[in-house]
Parts: sequence; C-alpha cells; structure tokens
Amino acid sequence: MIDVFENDTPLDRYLAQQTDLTAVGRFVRLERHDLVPTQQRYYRDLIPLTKPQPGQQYAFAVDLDSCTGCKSCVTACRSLNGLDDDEAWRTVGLLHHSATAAPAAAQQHVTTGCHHCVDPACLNGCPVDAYEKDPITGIVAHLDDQCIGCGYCTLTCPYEVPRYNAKRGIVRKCDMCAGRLAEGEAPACVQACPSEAISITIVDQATVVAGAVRSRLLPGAPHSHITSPTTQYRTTRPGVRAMQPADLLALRPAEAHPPLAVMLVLTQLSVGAFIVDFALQRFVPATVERALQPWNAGVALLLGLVALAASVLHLGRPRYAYRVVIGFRHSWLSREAVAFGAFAGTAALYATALWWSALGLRHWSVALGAAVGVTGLTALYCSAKIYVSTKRVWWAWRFTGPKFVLTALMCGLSTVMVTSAAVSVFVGGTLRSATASSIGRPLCLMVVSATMVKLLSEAVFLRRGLSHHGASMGAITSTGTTDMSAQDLHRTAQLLTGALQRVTLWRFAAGLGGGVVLPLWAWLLQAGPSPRVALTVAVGAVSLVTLSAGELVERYQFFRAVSVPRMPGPAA
Amino acid sequence: MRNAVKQAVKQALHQRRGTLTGELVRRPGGFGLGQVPNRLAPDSTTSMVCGFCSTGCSLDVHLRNGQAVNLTPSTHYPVNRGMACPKGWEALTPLHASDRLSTPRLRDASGQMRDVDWPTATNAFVDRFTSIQQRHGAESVAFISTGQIATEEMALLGAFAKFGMGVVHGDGNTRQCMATSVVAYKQAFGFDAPPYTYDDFEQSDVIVLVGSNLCIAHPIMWERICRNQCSPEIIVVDPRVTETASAATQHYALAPKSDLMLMYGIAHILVANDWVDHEYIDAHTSGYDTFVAHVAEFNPERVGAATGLSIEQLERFAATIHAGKRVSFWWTMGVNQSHEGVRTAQAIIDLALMTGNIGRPGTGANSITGQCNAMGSRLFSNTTSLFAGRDFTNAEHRGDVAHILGIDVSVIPTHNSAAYDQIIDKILAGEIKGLWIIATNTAHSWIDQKHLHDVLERLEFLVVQDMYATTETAQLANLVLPAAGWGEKDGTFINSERRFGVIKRVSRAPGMALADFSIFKLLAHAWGCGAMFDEWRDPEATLSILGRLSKGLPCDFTGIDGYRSIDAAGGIQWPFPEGSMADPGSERRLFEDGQFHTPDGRARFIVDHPQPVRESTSDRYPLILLTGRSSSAQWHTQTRTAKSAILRSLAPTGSYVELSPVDAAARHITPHELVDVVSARGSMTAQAIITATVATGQIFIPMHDAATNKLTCASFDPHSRQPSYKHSAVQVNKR
Repeated sequence: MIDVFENDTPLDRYLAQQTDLTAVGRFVRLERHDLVPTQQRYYRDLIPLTKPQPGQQYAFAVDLDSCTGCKSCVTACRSLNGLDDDEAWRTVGLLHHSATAAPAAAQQHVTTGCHHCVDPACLNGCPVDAYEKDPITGIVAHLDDQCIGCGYCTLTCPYEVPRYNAKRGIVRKCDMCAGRLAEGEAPACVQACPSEAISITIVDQATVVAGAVRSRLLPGAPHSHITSPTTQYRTTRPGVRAMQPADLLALRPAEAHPPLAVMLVLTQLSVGAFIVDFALQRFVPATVERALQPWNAGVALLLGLVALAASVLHLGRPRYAYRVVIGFRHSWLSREAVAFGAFAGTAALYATALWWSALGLRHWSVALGAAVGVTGLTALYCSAKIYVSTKRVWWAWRFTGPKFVLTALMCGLSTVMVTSAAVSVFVGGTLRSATASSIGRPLCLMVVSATMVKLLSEAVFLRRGLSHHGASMGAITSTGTTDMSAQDLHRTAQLLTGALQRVTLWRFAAGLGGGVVLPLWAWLLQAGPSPRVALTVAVGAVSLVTLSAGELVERYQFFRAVSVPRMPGPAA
Repeated sequence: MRNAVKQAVKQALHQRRGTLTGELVRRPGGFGLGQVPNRLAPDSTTSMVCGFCSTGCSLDVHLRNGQAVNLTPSTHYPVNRGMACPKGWEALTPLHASDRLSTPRLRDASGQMRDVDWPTATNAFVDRFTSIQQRHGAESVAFISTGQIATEEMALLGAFAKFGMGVVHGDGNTRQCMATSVVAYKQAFGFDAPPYTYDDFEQSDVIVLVGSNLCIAHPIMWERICRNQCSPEIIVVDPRVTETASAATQHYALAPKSDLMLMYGIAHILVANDWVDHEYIDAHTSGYDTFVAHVAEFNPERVGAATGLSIEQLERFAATIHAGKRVSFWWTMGVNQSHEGVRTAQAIIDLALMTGNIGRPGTGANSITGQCNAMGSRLFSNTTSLFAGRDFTNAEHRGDVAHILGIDVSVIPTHNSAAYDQIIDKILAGEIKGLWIIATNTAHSWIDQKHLHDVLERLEFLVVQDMYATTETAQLANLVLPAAGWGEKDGTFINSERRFGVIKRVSRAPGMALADFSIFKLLAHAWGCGAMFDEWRDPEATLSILGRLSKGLPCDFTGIDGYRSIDAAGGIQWPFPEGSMADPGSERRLFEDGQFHTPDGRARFIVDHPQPVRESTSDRYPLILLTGRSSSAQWHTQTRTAKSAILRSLAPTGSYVELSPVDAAARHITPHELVDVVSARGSMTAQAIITATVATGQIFIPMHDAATNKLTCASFDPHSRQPSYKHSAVQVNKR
C-alpha cells in the first residue's frame, strides 16, 4: 500500500484507509462475461427439461423429508429478487405434536410459497385483472402496474400469498421466477435450498383438480378444493399427516380495514334509509311523506356518497380506482362497485326528482325509488358476496347476510326517524305530532327490535363458539369440514372475548345504548298529543351516532376476529 | 395519432408494464451469477468468508464502484458449495443499521454518554487504565477477546494487551463455546487440532452427532451430509427431538447430562463384543488398558438406568458403530457446555480411537466450532495459550515468541491468564478494576446474569468495543469504541476444519468507526508502545508474523503467501508449511499417518468418573432447563441478526418456552399462554409452546433471549472452565 499520508497522524491514516474500497481490486474476479450460471450444476436436476404440455403446468415440489427449517429459501427469495427489507415470497412453518408423546419424528418444517393454483382465488377476485395465469406454464403472475391496491386478493387467497406492500400501495407476489425458468435457471428458492428440498415439477391440472376435492396440502392447511393448489408436498414419514400446525391455537387478530368498515356500515345505512323511507309511503299520510321525503333521501344520499368516498380511500392507488369495473365478469368487488355506482346514480336522480318538482320528475319518483331499492339491495348483496366468497367460515352467508341486512335496517330506521323528527321541528305546525305518532314512535320500536335481534345473535354466537372448546384440542387432522369450521368459529369467539375483549364490550355497550336505551327514550318522548320533539331530535341524533358507532365497531371486529385460513406457521 | 390514443387508453385500463413492474425486473448479471435484480446488477464481484459462524462459507459479494450491493453464496468454494444459511444471505444488512456507532462515546461525570473524538477516547483509555494499574497493579486490568474478529486483529489485541499494557488476565468469549474441545484435544492429541475436513461428512457411512443440532446451528454442514452418497446411518444423541434428530435415522433421547455415561456404556459394549481395532490401538494409542478397566463398570443396565435408554437401544447404537466402515463422531455445544464436557468429548475421542475411526476419510472425533473465528482465537488470541498453541509458563516458548517478534522476553507474562469466570470472580474480589470487552456481549451471553450485573457494577472503568451502542454490554460501558464490522475491514478467519478464509473491505464504516486492527494500533500508539508493533503494519503483514509464529508447530502455515494465495486457492487449511506439495485448496484431514502431537506420538485414552450436576432438580424447581438455538436466522445475542428485517421475521416474535404436553397438562397451561419460568436466580415471562419435541421434566428456551441467562446456573467444567448452559433447575408457573 502506498503511504500518501506520511505527514498525517496515525488516526488520519486509519480513517482514510477505512473509506478506501479499492483494496478489493486486488482480488476481483473478472468474469463479467460469464453468462452461464455456475450454480446450474446443483439445480440442473431440480427443474424440468421440458415445457408443460397442454393441460399441464409447472408446480413447486417440496420434499418434506429434506426440509429442515433452515429458511435459506426465504432470504434467497428476497436477495435474488431484489425485494424490500422485510419482504419475501416464501415462508417456513412448522408441524408438530402437541398433545401426545413424541413419536420418532416429532416435528416437520414446511416451506411454503405461492401454489400457482389451477383455479387461483387471487385472480378470480381481482377487480382490475391484475393477475394472469400463464397459458403454458400455469404460473400465476401479478401485474404490479395494473394493481390498484384494493387488497382483495389478500382476502381471497387462502394461503396468505399476495402481500400488501404499503410503501407502493400494491400487492406483490411470487412469479416462480418465471424469467429464470424461461432461461433454464432455477427459481431463487430452488437455487438456495441446501438440502435440495424444493424443485419444480410438471403436473396435470386435471389430476390436481380431482385430487383437491377432499384434501388439504398439509394438516391444518385450507381445503384444497377452494383453489386447487398445485404444490406437491412429498413425505415418506408416516407421522407427518398426524401432526398439527405449531400455530394452530395461536390467536392473532387479523388485519383491520377501517375504511372498509366505514364503507360497509355507511353504505348499508344509506341503502337502509332509502328503503325505509320508500316503504313509509304506504303507511303514512301523503302530506307528511311529501314534506319529509326529500330530506330523508338527501341525508341518505349524502351518507352513501361519504361511504363510497371512504371505499376509494381504502385503495393503495386511488387514482386508478376507475379500473375497478374491469373484472365485472368474475370479481364480486367489481360487481359491488358497479352496483353501488348504479345505486348512487339512481339515488341521486331520485333525490333530484323529490327536491326539484319543477323538473317534472316527481311522477317518476316511485319508479326511481323502487330502482334505488333494487340497486341498493343488489349492491348490498355484492358487498356480502365479497366476503362470503373468501370461504372464511365466519364470513359465510349465515353470518354475513344477517349482519349486513340488520345493520341496514337498524341504521336506516334510525336515520329516517331522526331526520323526520328534525324536519318536523324545522317545519313546525301539525307535522310535529303527525311525524311523532306515525313515524317516530313505530320506527323507534323497530330500531329496538332489530338491534335486540342482532345483539342477541352476536351474544349467542360468542356463547356457542366458546363452548366448542373440545374442538380446539383434537380432531384437527380429519378432513371433514365441520371440525375445521368449528375450530375457526371457536378461534373467532376466543379472539372476541380474549385479545379483542375490550372492543367487544364497547360494541355491546354502543349497541345497547344507541339501539335500545336511547330509542326507547325517544319513543317515550314522542308519546301523547304534545310530543317533546326537539328533545327527541337530540336524543335520536345521539342514538343514531351511537348505534352507527356500535355497528362500526362490530364491523371492525368482523375483520379482526375472522379466522384466517393459512398454511402452518411458526410456533412462536 | 389514433394509435397513440388507443395505446393510452389501453395503458390506462390495463397496464402491463411500468415503474412498479420495472422494480422487480431481473437480468443476466454476468460473473456466472445468472439472473440478478436489475437494480442491483454488479459491475464486479469478489468473494469472502462469512462473519457469523465457524462453518466458514464463502459469499460472492456483488459490487458497484467497489461498494457491496448484494451477495450470493459462492458456487465453487469447497465449504458451502453454492449455499448459505439465512444469516449469510443477510450478512450485509447489519452494516447499515441505524444504531451503528459512528464515534467514540464517553460517560461523563453525570453519567451521561457523550460523543467524543478519537484522541479524547484514546486518552481516556490510557489515563483510566494506567491509573488503575498504578493503584492496583498491572493485573488489575483485564480484557475479554472474541471469536468474531479477524485473526490478525485478535493477535494484535493479545500482543498489545499482554506485551504492551502488561495485562495478564485476558480471555475470550470462545470460553463459552470451544474451551472444552480445546482441552479435550490438547490432552488427547497433544495439540488443539480438530482432525477433520468437511468432506468427511460426505464420506462417512455412519455419522454420530452428539449434542449438535446441525440443521439449525450449522445448516451448511447439514448440506454436506445431504450430499453423502453412502446412505449413511445418522445417529443423533440429544435430549430433545431437534430438527436434526427428526432427520436422523437413529435418535437417542438421553437424559440431560448423561452423555458421559452413554459414551462409556457404548465403549463397554464395544469392548465386550471385541468390536475394537486392536491393530490401531496398539500402534497409535496409549492408555487403552486403563480405559478398558474403567468402562468395565459401565454395563448396559447401569447406563440404561442413568441415560433413560433401553438396553436394546444401547446395543443398537454400538452395533451401528461396529457395522460402519467409516464412522465419524461430531459434537457441539451439547457436549462443550457441560459440567464435564472435557471428559465427555474425550470419551467420544476414545470411541473413535478404539474403533480405529480416525485419520481416514469419513472418520474422526470432530468438534464443530461455534463462531466464525473461534479457531483463530484458539491459536492466536494470546489469551489462554501463548501464540500458536504455546504455553505462557514455558520459558522456552516465551523465548521463541520474544525472538520471533523481536521483543524483550520480560514483557511476556510468565503465568497463565484467569479464565472468563475467574476474571469475573476477581472483579468481585476487587482484584480487577478495569475491563475491556471486544466484540462480545457479556451482559447477555454470560451465565447467571443477575450475578454478572452485580459484579460488572464494581468495575471502575469498563471499555466496550463494538459496532453498536445498543448491545446490553455497551450500555453499561464507561467508554465505547466504534468498530468497523465484517465487510468493512481486511483479515482472515479460520473455520471449523482449520481453513483460512479472507475477509475484505467492501463497504464503508459509518463516521469515525475504525477496523478493530486500527483501533488496537491507535491505542498502542497512545499507550506509548506503538513501536513494539511497527512490523504489524497492516493485517496482511500481521498474517505473515503469525505464520512465523506457527513455524514448526502442528498449525504451521508458513506456506501461505498472503491473502491473494488464500483467495485463489478457495481457502487453505492448516497445516500448510512452506514447501508443502499439497494442493492448497484440497480438503485435508489430520493424523492420516497415525502420528499425534503427544511426546510419544500416540493419542491418549482419557477417562474419569461421571460427576453429578451442580444443581439437581427439586420439588421447588422440578424441571430441567435446556438452552440452545431456536432458528438459523438468529446469531447468538442477535446484536447483528436483529438488524435485518427479514431475519427478524424468521425469528420467534418474543420470549417462548417449549414444554412437554405432560408438564403443560399438569400445570393447566394451554398453548401460547404466557407463563412464568423461575429458577433460584431469576425469572422470565414467556409464551408456552407445548410440544412433544421436549421430554417430560424438561423445558427448552433459546439462548438468543436476553432473559434466558437470568435463569441459568453458573456451573463450570473444572478442566476447561466452560459454563454449563444446558442444565439448570427451574419451575414453570401459570400466571
């Protein structure tokens, strides 16, 4: 080394040396033009020599006997694909025995990535067609620039494969290193596995679908019939099928989606309010109805628009929200967007017709009102379908359907009640007592009834869910649906009464206060020939806000407490 | 125009390419790498050995303008053959952590840590330590070295501290991992000489792993076993059903710390059936008759009762060894970290000697090392032994060293250093007042933390030299010196199989941080003994000094001609004396000629009576605490691995304790619930993982958790002074 710092202190010299990176030049290997991967010698036998034939596709094969849980595949995936610091498209979980004495092999690590399903749920759910299944290789790839960041695929995929990347506002996922395979190179994870546990194989898609009917990839994994995953887990160890995921009983609340909770509750409120108001025409005097209807419709429209704005905010890339309709043919999210679009359009027309009679649309109002109801209910159906189609047990029809309908009913009734009372105060005269008796009092009782039904059903669910304690401890390996469903619901009940207990208490408090106590008070206030209408408006408003807050909390729990299907995860 | 509009509409509706897609584009990287991320494509590459464990994998560092941007495992390196564990893949990430030390820090009178410049720091170092030495004698300042820095650096440290500062007591963190093997080998072979090469993993037909969870602790050595074409029997001796036990063909889940009994029991069966290699024993060993007499007492009934294994199991174990033509024995921390580890390691050596399984491909009594440069530390840290395996108490050895280094022989201490635990005792006794800790995290890793913290508080001056200000130990320091890390400096590591590998400067250290080598030079200069190390110009010059120190000794590497030769050969194993005709890059094992380093050239059978553990279980503490690694994504006290987001995601999310279904049920503990683990010394809160991988009566907690050593019982092997981390009496309570 040439000492150019002769007159400097040793410290100066050492600091200068520290920044000098040319020393490495002494060693650099100049093989820049060596384009043939040297690593090929190890993975040549781990990737197919031929392309898949029609009806076939590439698939990951995992030799469980060889997977020892070193997790090199995960870090290699990150480094060789240039992913973010905490991002990798592979995870390693663990199967073990936790109830019985140890047989020969008591644990089995499991490397898992995208299963490049024959019937990918990510692709089916995507509202903007940001997923493509390659017709030749079968690789399910994500088009990052097409993605709007709705995150719906993170809910539809039963394997937690697509991961939302908050920094970019999109999801990203494994593409089986398609570009590498095309050039005869192995995917990163295949290249990096020290025990050659991961390879690429070719499978017949029909065989995968047939085999998926009543099976799971591994104990505790989601039902394969949902997506027909192609990964081939192979083992010669007889004990593995009797193991259970090490995180089977770990209770982790799922991700919260606050904008979605707001969107769901407010759209349901809006649809409910329109329908209640529309239905009222048959039961109240026309004069009363005529005075109140424009206001009711206006408030419902306003809240509905707020809800739709919230749904756009939920997107990672809101400026591409318009693309959401592209997946109409297969995505319930697209259909929901279209349905709410139609709802908002007809609702706006309807409100316009009611407000500006000069436009001469008034005589269309009944037809328009009916259309608002139909589009609103359709949209509500699509909303529910978004969650139902994820196949998560607690989001099944029998839970989601009643939840959404009752929210619409409770909040719709409450909104119309408050708005009507407020308008009657504003207008004054006989409208006050007429509104109180023909609308205010009956609606209060209906709010109370609907709320009681909802809260009771939620309480019963918790009681029943918790009593399924036995389900949590055994019978996991069975392929029967019931066991796993009971398991999932039990986990949900445990989360609601455990980690999320405080939130659950708030939910019931808000429900009882806003949906029972305050409406009953409002009911009392509106009794007799001279109802205390002004106070009713105040109490009703507090009731509506409290009730809606309770529903928001319920919907927050809807996301957080659902049992997320997943591959076996780590123990701790 | 119409096309452009059409294109724009298409793009707006269905965009297949763009900036986001571009971020993940891969392209051929050249340099034989295959496709690499486009944004990280290198303009040159260089390879260097990894800085975590002793496997000594080589990593191809991808460079742009000399700066490391990415890395991949080296395909051709004879150690790792294209593979790396997660730590290796992430080796560059900890360099860029936000809590890197960029300037020295000195605690002021009010107890606040303040950034200072180097002259202030070196002055404080010299003033405080000389003041202590003037008041309490030269021996009142001690140092704790490490297996984590380059050989040249730890050699300079040992030379400066002992010959320059007049320090006598200096030990290394290798006391916690390898001391047992060192003593075992020295006594049995006459030199601390692990005899194997990794190729032995591939050549064996029987592989015996004792107290070694290779799959997690040394995944790349497990890779080598996976490449064994002989369908080997793999025997794992471990109380837990570890990953390695699950992958083995035979697992012997013995009672904790009954391994010495077990080895004697196996020897007993081998002798009883005359499954021994008399020819080898007669020609190359001593002490066999005493050995036979000793193991006669260890009949299968007695050993079965002590180990919890059946007589059939013991017989199958012995028969498997007998049936093997190339049997290799390997041990790691399960043996080393024991109250009688030395004798256990020697009992394993005895098995290899009696069956003639040494000095041939696929054989050996092989200790697998822990840290990346524990082997460098064993030879050249100048702590326990004088340079290159010499003895401080031997006047001839001192004379040799003084002559080779051109120093006055009187500066070389004439008595041995206290061991790590004895240094701590001396602090407690007030004999040591100043301590300098380099690249190790005592305040997390040392056994019985509560006691240790009480002791460290008694120091007048604690200097910590590290990459981070945030380690548990650095937080206690009076002076912190900012060190450059692996990848920011030059030097060599020596791996488990005695292979020198080169590390290089491929990244800039933050701020004023300096290579440990430069820090030692700076301190020597400030101390006034800089001239003593004029010839230790830089790390490479130092390597040639060390070569001279090794001349004529079993570790002779005088044939190594600088870093370039090591780099070109793909690492060079010692011995490699000047004029050696061996291919420097070949895989070589020791004792092929049956000649050992003892005065009579024979390997010694060494035996002893098994001793009870220091702390037995009791009604109050009925469970045995086992410790070890929990994942291959974590390294020791995690000062580096916790800096990588992806490694963090692969590690457990918090404290946990594994306990058996039976023990959990008896305590009404449900999976994942928080429990208290208590010992006579301390307690911790942990998530309960109920698993059949631990036996009833035992629990397991990873060593990476800072709370674990609040529980451990400070017991030591009397010969190696290595702490016994793997046996403490504890209780688990529902909260």
